[in-house]
Amino acid sequence: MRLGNPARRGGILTLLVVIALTIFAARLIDLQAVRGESLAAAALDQRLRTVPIVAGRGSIVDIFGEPLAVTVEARNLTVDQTLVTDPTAVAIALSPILRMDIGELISRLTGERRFVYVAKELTPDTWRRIEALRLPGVFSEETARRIYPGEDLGANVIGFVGADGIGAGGIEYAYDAVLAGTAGSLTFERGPGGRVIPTAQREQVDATAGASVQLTIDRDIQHIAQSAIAAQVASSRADSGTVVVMDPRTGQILALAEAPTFDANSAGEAAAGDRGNRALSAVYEPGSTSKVMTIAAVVDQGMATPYSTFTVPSGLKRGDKVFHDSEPHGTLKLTLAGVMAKSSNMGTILAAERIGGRTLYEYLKKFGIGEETGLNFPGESSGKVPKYKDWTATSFPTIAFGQGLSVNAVQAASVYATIANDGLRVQPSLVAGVLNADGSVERPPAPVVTQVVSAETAKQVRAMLESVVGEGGTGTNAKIPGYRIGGKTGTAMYVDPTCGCYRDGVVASFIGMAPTDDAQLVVAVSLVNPRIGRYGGELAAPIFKKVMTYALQARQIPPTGTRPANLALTFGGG
Amino acid sequence: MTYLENDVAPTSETGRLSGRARLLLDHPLSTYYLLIGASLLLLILGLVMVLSASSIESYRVFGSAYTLAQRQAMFAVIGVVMLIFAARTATQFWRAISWYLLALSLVLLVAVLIVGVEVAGQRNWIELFGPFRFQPSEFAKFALIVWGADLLTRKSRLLNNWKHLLVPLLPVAGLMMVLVLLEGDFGNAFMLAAITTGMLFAIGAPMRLFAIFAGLGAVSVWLLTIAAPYRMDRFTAWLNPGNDRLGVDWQVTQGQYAMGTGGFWGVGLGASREKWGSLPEAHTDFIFPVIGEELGLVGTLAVLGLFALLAFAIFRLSKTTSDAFVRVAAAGVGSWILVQAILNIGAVLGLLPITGVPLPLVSYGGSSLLPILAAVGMLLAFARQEPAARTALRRKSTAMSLRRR
Repeated sequence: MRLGNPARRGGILTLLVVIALTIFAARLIDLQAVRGESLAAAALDQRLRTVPIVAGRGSIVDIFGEPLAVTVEARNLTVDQTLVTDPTAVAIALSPILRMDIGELISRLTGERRFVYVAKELTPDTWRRIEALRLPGVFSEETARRIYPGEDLGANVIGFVGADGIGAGGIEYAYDAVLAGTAGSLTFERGPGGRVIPTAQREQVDATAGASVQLTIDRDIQHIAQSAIAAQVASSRADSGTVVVMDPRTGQILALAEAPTFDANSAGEAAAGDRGNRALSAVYEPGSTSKVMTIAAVVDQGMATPYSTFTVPSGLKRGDKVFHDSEPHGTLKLTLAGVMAKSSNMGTILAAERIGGRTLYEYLKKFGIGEETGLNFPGESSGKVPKYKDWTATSFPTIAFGQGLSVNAVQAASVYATIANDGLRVQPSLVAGVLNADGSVERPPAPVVTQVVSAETAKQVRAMLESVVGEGGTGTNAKIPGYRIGGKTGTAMYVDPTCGCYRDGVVASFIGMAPTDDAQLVVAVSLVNPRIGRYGGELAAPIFKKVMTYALQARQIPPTGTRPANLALTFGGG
Repeated sequence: MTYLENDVAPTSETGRLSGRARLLLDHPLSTYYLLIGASLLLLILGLVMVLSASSIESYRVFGSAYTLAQRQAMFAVIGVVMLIFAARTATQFWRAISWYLLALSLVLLVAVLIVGVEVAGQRNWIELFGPFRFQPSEFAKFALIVWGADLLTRKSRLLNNWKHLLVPLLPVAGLMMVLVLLEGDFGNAFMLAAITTGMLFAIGAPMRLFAIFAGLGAVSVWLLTIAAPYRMDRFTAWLNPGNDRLGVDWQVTQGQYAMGTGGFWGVGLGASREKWGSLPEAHTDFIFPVIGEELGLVGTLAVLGLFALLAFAIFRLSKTTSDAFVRVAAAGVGSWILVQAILNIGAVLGLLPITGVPLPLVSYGGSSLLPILAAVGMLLAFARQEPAARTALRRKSTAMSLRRR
């Protein structure tokens, strides 16, 4: 055996290394130059994350800018379970701060998951207390929390947001696009553990904060209306009740109260039926409060004056039906004012017959019955009046005194606002403006204004409405000393929405205005299905008085100092 | 200084090179300077890259981004001190201690099986004081080289006899490999085989021996691969890249992402994205992709170039020396550094299966760095002791003292 030449062997070893390194160099040129960009793109794709930046939600404020719904900074408490070494100890530390059960906490802290929510929407202060404990694996993420400082104050108007922070009812829902703003985004590169790579690219698109919505609601009047109706619903054991306060000159709704209501801060726990808005979505047969439209139509057509006389029999047969008044009586001799004050069904039928069904129907539509209010409120129902061509022989007399048609509480209030505003119907409104984050204000377009009846007609109808609260009227409980008040009681049969039929119950209502010779406020009160008490003059009129008295003070409306019309209700000694 | 270069006649093997380069390479101390230059550049680059690549992991584990880099710096200081000492030894020193080195390494290899700790599936670490651990298989490579070189030198007149050529070198190397394999360290067992082969190749063993080695090697790689499932996974991942992008192949894919992201010029020192947790072992076995990401193609080619220079210097020392001990030891150290570098970079580039060996002089780890620096120091001593180099060094010191005067 012969040994090789060492000099050659050394050269071969060098050559082998150089060959290997040359292959590597070619591979490197391939990886870093030829395919470099596509590999870099794949790598970037693996690291790149985009997370949304939540836009601050706009506030909802009342007519004076007082906050009704605001968004505050909050923290969600999260945990990386793999970093929690002693779940029990962490749970014991967190339990008193979060007011959560220790067992529940332990189960959320134990496991292999890298991201679990422990608690949501903590106040920044609560988070600071937790942060100070320096618990391993416990983190927080920024979030926002919707706060309703008034709790149930105006809750049925304001609505509420869902767990995702998106409007789910009321103005929160209807104006969600305005309130929400535009979410921004943060794009960054991160490692597999979620760590942001500071040396890599980072791109932030700032969020645009949402605009605030200013309501026409006056927080103080709303509060009084709400507590008054809540008390009356409770004491009369009614199913529910609503109060609408309107400025007849502008159509602005100053209060839209109802009972039972809910705390908007915990809307999820409330009954679904209490979270809506009954004043807009629940319709009822107006009953006697509807007579004001019939009588106004007759007067406006020049077919009667407040002094026109009607001989009202004990019963009146129309079609196949005999109509009566609510209290049995013999033949009565009533003026038109008396028909209104006594709320005579038969007198109203007799008056309506002077203009006929078609004309009555046209006036009802002009008053906005069966039409949308224009508020565009979620869940709103516009009520219904049957088309004239569908009227039967009994439709005309029943619709004349308020049966067989349905309205919501705002529509009913709007009828009285029209009379109050000299026959000019101003479309109701709930939103006074949108306050943009940049400070600019968008006002809604001017409301639609319709002349429904003449100013003179309206004045005469107001005079008759004064009779209702005057001596011998049905609404004396509404009287406010010093002020000229006009209004109308209603005790309508309650249509059970589950069957569409009449049940024992009634809707007791009172709608009125003040001061009648310079009407600046309309208040409509209704109670559905009271079990203690029955009549509008008895249950609703006192609430009207309470709310109207406060609203007059709050709006600083002085008495006009004039005397009520004091019309004759009967004639010929009847 | 220039007159020194003209002193020595050009040798034939560099005759192809021309002009100034030839003059530089022909300098009697060029091997010495290339060795020390390339090794120190790799060491310094390694320190910088370990600082960058380990910072995230270090911060996560120790709360300071610098802990691992500080340790590596400490290893480097100790290693350079060892290198300086080794560079001042005489050949006789290594020959005298060769048997002791062998005995110590065998004791440690047995000890690790008894008292060793398991890290990442391999029981190849002995716990030292504090956070420090020691890997006997790294030291064994150095011991095998010194002992083997001494053995083959003493038998140099008998080497044309197969028995003297292979015994006891192969049985001892085989024993070491078995011990290392028992630790589960396939990569270092392969390195021991490569070093033995390199030494036998340099001494001039017949080519048919290496054909037999290649056959034996292929069979044993196949057997060992079948025996350990994780090696099988690595092997199939290597054969079918992209098949299992999130599993075994993950590391290689991330390495290629890193190098692709680096492109031509790199994203800049410290700016690697892959080191933020995507690339496992970024500061140890997979430091090369981090170099590729931060310093680009320019950086990776420079590293290849430095290893090529190292290969050139070491194997030139091996083939030009007249001392058989120097020839075999240089070939052993050269095989060690370069085969390990090729295994490491080849795996990272997806051209070879992953064997889990660090990149010599660059990767984090004292167990790997210290023996290599000692070995480089030993080669420096050999380079200084070449007759031409001695003459040059003597003249240089005379010139210095003359100038001083």
